[in-house]
Amino acid sequence: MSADMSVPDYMQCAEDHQTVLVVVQPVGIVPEDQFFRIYKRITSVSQVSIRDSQRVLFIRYRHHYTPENNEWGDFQTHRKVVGLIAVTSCATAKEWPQLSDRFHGQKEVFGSTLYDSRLLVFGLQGEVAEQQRTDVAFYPSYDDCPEVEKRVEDFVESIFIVLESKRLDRATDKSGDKIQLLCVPFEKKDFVGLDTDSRHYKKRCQGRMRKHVGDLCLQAGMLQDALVHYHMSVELLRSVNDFLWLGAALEGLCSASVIFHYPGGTAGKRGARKPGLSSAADAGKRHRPGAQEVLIDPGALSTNGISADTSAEIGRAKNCLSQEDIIEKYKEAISYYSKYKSAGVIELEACIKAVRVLAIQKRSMEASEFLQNAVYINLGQLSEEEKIQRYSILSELYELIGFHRKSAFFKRVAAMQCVAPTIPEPGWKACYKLLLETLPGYSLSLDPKDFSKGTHRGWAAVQLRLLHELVYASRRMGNPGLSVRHLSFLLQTMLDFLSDQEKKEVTQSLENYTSKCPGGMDVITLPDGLKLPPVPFTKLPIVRSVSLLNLPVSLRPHKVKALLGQGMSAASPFIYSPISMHNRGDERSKKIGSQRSSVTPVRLVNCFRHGLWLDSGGRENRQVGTFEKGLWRAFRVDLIPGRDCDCVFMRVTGPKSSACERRQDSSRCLEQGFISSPERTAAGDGGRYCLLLHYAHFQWVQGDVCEVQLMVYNPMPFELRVENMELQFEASSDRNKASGLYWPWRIIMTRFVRRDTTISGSLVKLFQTFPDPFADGVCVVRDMPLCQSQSVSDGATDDAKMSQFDLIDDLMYYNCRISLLTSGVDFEALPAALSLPAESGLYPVTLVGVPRTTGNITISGYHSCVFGVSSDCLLDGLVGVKSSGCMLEVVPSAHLSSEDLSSSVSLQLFNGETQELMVTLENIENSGCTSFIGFLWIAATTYCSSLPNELQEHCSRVDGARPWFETEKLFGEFISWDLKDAVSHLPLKSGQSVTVPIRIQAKLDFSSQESLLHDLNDDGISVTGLPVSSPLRQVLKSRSENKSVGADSSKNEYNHVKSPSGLQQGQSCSDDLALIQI
Amino acid sequence: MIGLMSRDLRVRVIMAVCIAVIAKENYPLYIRSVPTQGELKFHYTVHTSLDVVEEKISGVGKALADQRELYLGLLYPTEDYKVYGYVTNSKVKFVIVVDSSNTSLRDNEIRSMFRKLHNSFTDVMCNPFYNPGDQIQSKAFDSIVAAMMVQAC
Repeated sequence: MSADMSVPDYMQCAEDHQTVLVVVQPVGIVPEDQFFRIYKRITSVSQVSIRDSQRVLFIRYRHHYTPENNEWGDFQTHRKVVGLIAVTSCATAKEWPQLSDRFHGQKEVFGSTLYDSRLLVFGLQGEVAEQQRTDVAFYPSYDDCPEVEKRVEDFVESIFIVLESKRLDRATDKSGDKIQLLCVPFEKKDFVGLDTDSRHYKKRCQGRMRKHVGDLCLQAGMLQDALVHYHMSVELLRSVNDFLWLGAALEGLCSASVIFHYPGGTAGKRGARKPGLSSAADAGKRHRPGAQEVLIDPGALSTNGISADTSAEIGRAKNCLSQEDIIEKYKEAISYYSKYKSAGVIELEACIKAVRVLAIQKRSMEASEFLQNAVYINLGQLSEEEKIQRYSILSELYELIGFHRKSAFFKRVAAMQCVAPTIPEPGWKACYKLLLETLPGYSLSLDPKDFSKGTHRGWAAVQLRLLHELVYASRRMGNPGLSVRHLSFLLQTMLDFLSDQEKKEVTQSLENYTSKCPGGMDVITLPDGLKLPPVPFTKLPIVRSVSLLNLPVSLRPHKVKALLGQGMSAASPFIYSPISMHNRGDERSKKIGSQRSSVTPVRLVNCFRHGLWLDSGGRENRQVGTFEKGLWRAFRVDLIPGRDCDCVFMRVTGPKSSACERRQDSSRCLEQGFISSPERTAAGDGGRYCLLLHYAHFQWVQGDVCEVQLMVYNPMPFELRVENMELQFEASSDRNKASGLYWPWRIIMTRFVRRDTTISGSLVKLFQTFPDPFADGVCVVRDMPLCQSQSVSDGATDDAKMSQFDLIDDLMYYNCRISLLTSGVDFEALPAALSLPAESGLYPVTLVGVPRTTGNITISGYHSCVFGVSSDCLLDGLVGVKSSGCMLEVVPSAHLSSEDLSSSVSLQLFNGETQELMVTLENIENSGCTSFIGFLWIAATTYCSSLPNELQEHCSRVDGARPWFETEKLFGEFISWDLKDAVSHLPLKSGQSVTVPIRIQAKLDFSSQESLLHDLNDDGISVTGLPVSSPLRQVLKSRSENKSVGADSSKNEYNHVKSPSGLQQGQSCSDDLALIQI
Repeated sequence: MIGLMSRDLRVRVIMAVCIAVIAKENYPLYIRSVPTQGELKFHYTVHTSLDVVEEKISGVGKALADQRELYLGLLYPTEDYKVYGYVTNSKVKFVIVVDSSNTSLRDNEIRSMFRKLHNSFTDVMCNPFYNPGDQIQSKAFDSIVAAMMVQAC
């Protein structure tokens, strides 16, 4: 049996000195749950008011206590087991004698210190059970024992009587008698052969005994007496340098003072004392007379022997330590304890008690010093379990004093200890649980939303480590779903902090895990209620922009107004035809693939703390732009604070009518409530009107394949495979749902650059989005001389400065088409799979879907599957893409299927050359209609550097009643037609056809911009012709006679739609060659 | 004895083993440690020292509000290291970790190290291209720190 006390009680607090220790143990076979039920009931009796006195006895229960610790009972009496309650099951009287013996055996273990004991017998009935014994109580069953608490109270009272008699006995020892020398276990051998008659020895005996009496007084509820005894003991022991016991006396003094100062206890919730029963000190304060009564207790007043000095004149306030002194004395006591290696546990416990007191006093710094000391107390070989316990309690105590980081540190150490290699059965669950508890200390939440705002700021290195440990622990726990979630979180939030090698490793292990357990978007709820939100991979790939694409020209719906004859109301159900006269910019870029001369990239930096948005400020009636005939296409770009943003000024030239169309579109948006109040500023506030073109100024058509383009890039150092990428959308039939400030955005692709382009400063208009979206702002253009800022107002142009923009080199634009996926009734999204090369630049991805019903549709995000983790990425949550979604209207399809109608032909002409195209219109409708309304629309796109790469539209409407013809010429006239003859044949009867000749003459003026001629290799003119439908359900089928045209012109090889690459290689020598595509 | 001597030699060469700059919001702006030892260990050391820094700052607010003392002194000693702290008026914290065995370092020297660090940090902040709150990547700052971490004499 070791003399050292080896098991520290980390839960101890100062007020425990006041308690008496009772051990509750099972005897024989007692079911564990039953035992603990009874144990719980017994422990509910934690304080008992003693009859006929103001005193209260506090009881501390343990179901396990080592006899080694009991040996220290003389040193500090609260360590002494004074009561034993044994619990036993006994079914028959036969077993009884045996159990009774075992109970006595149990008593022997703590025999030297026990004041009293009880045996609670459950299950025994009959003769034996009927005998009345004070030390044994019989109950028929564990469920039928209503009097257990009462029995325990009686038991406690009997303990009190013994305690009180011991106290009186010790206190009244005659001074002449030889006082026994109390000692701790390891001292015993030191005192052999000492001169017991020396003054020194006597003093030592007296001091120790005083201290002991102090302990007993404290336990017996006589706080003031205890203080007096402790004071005297300190003086006695100090004079003989009995350091260990001096320490104990000081600590006793501290404990008593703490009990006096903090009647609520220092242990926090756990040890909170019942408010109804006040502690002795409390009682003393409230009932002065009562306290007096305690003080004049006959035992205390016995005037002989060592208690002579316990006089009432020593004021209790004097005896009690002040709050500061408590800490000083604790320090002193601990310094004495530390002289004895065997008193390590005592020292450690004293430290913990002091920390609890300091925590209440809110003196964290001093508390941390005590804790620091506690960390270094060596208790010899600790078992792994004890180590875990020790680290956990350190963590708890640090938390108590508000040192959350330190607390997290120790908790993590405890967690690691749970799975130390020396442990045969590592407790991964415990480890995981402890690790989770450290998260707040490392300011880490497991919700990816907390990381979506700007750059991550935190202790990345330690957070990464913790996340790795969580992943590993959850894997070893056998919960791959958790590992996937944690690993996804790690990848998503810590991507910026991972090296290339780590990125590889993390994704590899993620793929390993997901092969067993694919990651999803469900919330994982842990057994303890913690919820792990899903982690969408918004950074794999990173999406920089999302734009809804208009339908191809041939499929665009066109609102027909006032053309339907007087008989029809303009408010009648809209009838759309696939003819559109606006927004050809998109179309051009898609079809031809080069926007080189029409866009200018600018890099802008928002140096404000709030968001800005940039608007071209184009107003139809006031053509903005430096190109003579160009119309700046309106656009808006959101600038996120502190980030730079590439945006593009794009020029669209078109007939005025198309601009009007645009206006109407935007106002229509207003009606729909997409935009809060542009009118407010539009009226009279020159130049602040913002166009909504970047918003859904177009419609999608039910049943048509519609596209959304994402600009994405792959931040990983290896190829990224994205599977099942598909659009997510919300369909709403209620237009008002979209009301509110709903700024659509559209970032036009960058990188299409033309050198020597100048931009007018007047085009750069900045508005603050918040609080007033229309207030002018300032923007700093990077790459300009330092902090060149411009407050932009209309008309104030500074071409010279703006031209200093660093323009990027031309880059070929290529469109990577992917297929889409389906879901929902309203919108059929078609899944796509893509593979992005390592650290790709911006990479366009087109997601496709088919709206199945009409109404408003919002593209709210996309779904993707990367590394086996499927994620739903909402546009709201994307960093760098500021949008609450993209919304547009899906209109009913016209009754014609577009496939029947569109046709295109391309031909190539040398400048000056003339070709004739024969277009045959045929009414294939069988219903024998009598009238016909239709459009013939020809779009010509030219590719010629001398021209600002424009799309010319020639629109002609053919009306059965009033033939109608309109052509707009923006520059030159290279197309002409004569419909008079054709119109005279209208209306067409079913099956009838008419042929319209169209002359095309390439008559382009190259002289103005000779410097651009060298770019001619990818220039050309493309003409697209689309005869279109009748809103009256009459069909005119067009048959472009491409073949014959081609044959006639003997330019077969150019009769195809040219691919961008084809254009590039094409006609590098033919300076005056124009390609016309019809 | 031999072990002790070699230890002393090392001490003379190395002053600080880790220097960290921590933002007002308590995330690191800069942290650099001697390459020979585990970097992560210092992250933990500095991270946990923030508890003490916070405590000291809040304590200063109560008791020593008028004293413009930026130097926080020894934050806490561990078995191997001593951790010193310093807080600027804008609540940016500097933490210097030195080897515990480095007894030659006086309080004054630590103070002067912090002052140097503060000056250099001020220079970083004056750079118009530096956004407050970003990681410090200044080479000048780096070299000041490097000098403190190597040569004592």
